[in-house]
Amino acid sequence: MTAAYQPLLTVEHIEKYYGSPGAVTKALRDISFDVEEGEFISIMGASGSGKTTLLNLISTVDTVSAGHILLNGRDITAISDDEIAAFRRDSLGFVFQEFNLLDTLTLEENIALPLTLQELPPRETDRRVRDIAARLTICEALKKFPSQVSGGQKQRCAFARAVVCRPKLILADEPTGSLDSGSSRILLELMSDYHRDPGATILMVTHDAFCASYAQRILFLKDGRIFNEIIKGEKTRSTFYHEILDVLSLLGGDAPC
Amino acid sequence: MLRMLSRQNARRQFREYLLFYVTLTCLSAAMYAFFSLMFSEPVTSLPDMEILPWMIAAATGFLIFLIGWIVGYMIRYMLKRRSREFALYMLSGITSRGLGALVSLENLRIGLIAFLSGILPGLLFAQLLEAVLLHMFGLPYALHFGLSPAALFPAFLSFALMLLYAGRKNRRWIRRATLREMLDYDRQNETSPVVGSAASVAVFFLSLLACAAGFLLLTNRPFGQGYDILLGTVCLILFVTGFFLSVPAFLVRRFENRTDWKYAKHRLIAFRGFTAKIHSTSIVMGMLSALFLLSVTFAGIGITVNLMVTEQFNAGVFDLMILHEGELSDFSRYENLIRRDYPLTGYSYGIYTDGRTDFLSVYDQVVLKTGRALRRPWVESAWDPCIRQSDYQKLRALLHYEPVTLSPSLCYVHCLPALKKDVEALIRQDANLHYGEFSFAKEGVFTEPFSQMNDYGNGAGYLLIIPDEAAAGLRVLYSVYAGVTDAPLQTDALSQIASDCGLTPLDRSTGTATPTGAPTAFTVKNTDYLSGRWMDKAELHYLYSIVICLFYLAVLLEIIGAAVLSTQVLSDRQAKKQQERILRQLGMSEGLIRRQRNRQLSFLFLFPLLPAAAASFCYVYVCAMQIRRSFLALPAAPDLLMVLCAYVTALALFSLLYALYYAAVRISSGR
Repeated sequence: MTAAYQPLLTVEHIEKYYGSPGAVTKALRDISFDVEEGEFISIMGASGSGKTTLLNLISTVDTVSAGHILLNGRDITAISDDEIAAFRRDSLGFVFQEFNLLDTLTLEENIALPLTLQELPPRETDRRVRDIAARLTICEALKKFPSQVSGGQKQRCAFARAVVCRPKLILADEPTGSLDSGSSRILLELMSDYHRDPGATILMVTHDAFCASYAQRILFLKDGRIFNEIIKGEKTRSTFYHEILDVLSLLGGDAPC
Repeated sequence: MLRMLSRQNARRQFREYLLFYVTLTCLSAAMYAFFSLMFSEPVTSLPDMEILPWMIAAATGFLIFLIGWIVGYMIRYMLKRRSREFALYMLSGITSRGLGALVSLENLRIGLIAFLSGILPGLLFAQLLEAVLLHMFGLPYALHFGLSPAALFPAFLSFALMLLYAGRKNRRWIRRATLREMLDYDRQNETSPVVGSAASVAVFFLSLLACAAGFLLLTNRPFGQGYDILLGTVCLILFVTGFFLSVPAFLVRRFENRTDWKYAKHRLIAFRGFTAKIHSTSIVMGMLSALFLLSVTFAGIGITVNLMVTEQFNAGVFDLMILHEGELSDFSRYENLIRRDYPLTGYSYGIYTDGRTDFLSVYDQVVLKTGRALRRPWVESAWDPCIRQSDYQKLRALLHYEPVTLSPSLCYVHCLPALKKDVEALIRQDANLHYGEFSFAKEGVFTEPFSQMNDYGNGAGYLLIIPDEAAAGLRVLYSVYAGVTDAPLQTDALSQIASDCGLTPLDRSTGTATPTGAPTAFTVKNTDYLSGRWMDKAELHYLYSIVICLFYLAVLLEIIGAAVLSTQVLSDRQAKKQQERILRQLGMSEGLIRRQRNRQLSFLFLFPLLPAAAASFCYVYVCAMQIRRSFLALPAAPDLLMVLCAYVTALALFSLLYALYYAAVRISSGR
């Protein structure tokens, strides 16, 4: 007998409303999709399409108005406040546009922070920090503070912090939004590399077509609904990039980057 | 337009200004309370308090500038955080002069509201002060409320001067600031991260060394003539400066590479947050430490003086003593006259001597041992004083002391507790010690309070209790009438008794030379002297003015120091909120975030206090010892114990107010 198929993340008919009765804004309307383990998925859309709202719901930063989100079969919309912190700590990794590094900590300590929250032995923490730093080529900046390094190094540090705990799901919100093109490319190559080995599951929100072209699958949001979905498959990244631009031109709204 | 904008701003920023407002309210309350004390009728009618208004006025003059400067710092700090808002005003066409006027109006508005808000707590605080002061004088206190216009005016004037002085520099800053400076202020203000250099370790240890040297110089006084105090003070200044400049870098250097330590027990955030904060505020922390040092020192010295007066008062057990020089006297005339107005129980007896000084040498040794200079103030204290056993028993009965069985063939000693050990040792060691033909009882030393602190009374520190027959033929040094009244005797009662009976109040501060070279307090011949514990206390009333003034300084310095610290701690609330948001996203639980926040807050509140507490102990110790050694020929209680008691009390009183600020900041930062 084979085990029942279960995607890593299942988003079921979620809705999100803001405002008060009589003046309701529907940010998300009946969104449903699955994310397989080891998949690199991107969510695109114009400003106000609901990308960040969707990310906030998956990351439990915000709560759904209706629907369910299941991670490994567990409904994260129904877990208690006490469990949310543990869920984020053990299952999620975050990368933000503004890096969200702690200014008072060195890069090394920023990376170590989630491991200290998991109460890993200090030596193991140190070893894992050095391993990931070597892989993301930021060893020479480990002793520096965020204010002393470039944006690219900051974002690599933020990515290292997101993956150092080996989370089930990595959530990235416009990770290249504050980077120059060179740094963006390096970060995306590293994310792609990390997706291949050890097979991390990444869900990235972006409005940058080049950035999205690194994903395997892209969901397009428009006015709070899924408008389209494209899959990279065996296509080259360049072909996929042009396909994204085509969809974006259909989508309207922001000019594609 | 500006007036309306300033009113709206003051209202809108009330929460932001809350701490500033509370501080001004506390200052207003304290100023009003102390000025109210100056003009309070029960206080002005107290004897020897003429100097109080002058001392309060002088202290206020000093505080106006000091606190004005610090309040100015607080205002500037808050204004700089609003630089972007000011830039928007400037973009909207308000000139920098207009902006200066707007800010001044805002501050005046808040100041006026704070002053008025401070009146009610000031009324309560004034009542508390009055009750404490009257209690010091042994007078009854009756609760009464009423606004004192005489106190209101100087309090308002001082408060307004302080606020104007505080606003002066800020107006200048706003007028000179350009639009670009206003817009870029946040960026300019970014501080460099803490880097642990090797030099910081050296400076840190040198500062600790300076602290130890200062402590040793001030407490041991090896050089004398004030050089050690001067050098000790220099060492402590070096300690405070070096400590606050080096400690962040030292901590970073010490713990940065110790991953075993910093990655364990969630120390990382608290450690880095604390070092970053104290690095960016090291100068302010040093200044706060100096303020707290002064505050604790002033309070400690004030408490020392108060404890000393109480100690001396408690050692005197007879409410009233009449002294007659050189012979036994009949005091019944005085007794009858006094009893007409004041219920009195008393007993007359003589203080004798045979001219021996066996116990006097022990007394001298103990005096030297306590670090005091040997002085023999009164000619009558040049020999061992004695009392008859029967007189002693009567006096014990008068004081309701436990009766003791005295052998008619033995001598005993009644002395201050400080002398007991050495007196017992003398009796034990010297088998030939006799008084006449009577030896001393081995276990015969009594130490209950017995009016022995002052030189005239029942001996200067000690009194030999001899069999009645041994007293026959001995020289009478002076005769005494010791009485106990039903109610305390106030200064006016003592004056009335002296005048009715023709007695001269005993003034220990003056004396005349005798043929032997020793001065004596019996400056007027053929007169009887009035003494007793109430007279002793009245002699020290002038010290209460000093005590009140010291508390005034201590309270205001603490208020302002704690307010500046609170402002500093709360200043990066937005950055802290952002940090906590990131920590939540990383999966830190709310409980742990709260614990980290509180831990960091506690460190920040302790940080300037610990060096201040250490350094202030040196000053309290030096000053208190000096005061006690000057005032008390021999203490009733051990000097060190009393100094520690004063210091701990000062620290406890300081902590009460400090804890209020800590609680306010904790609540505010937890919101």
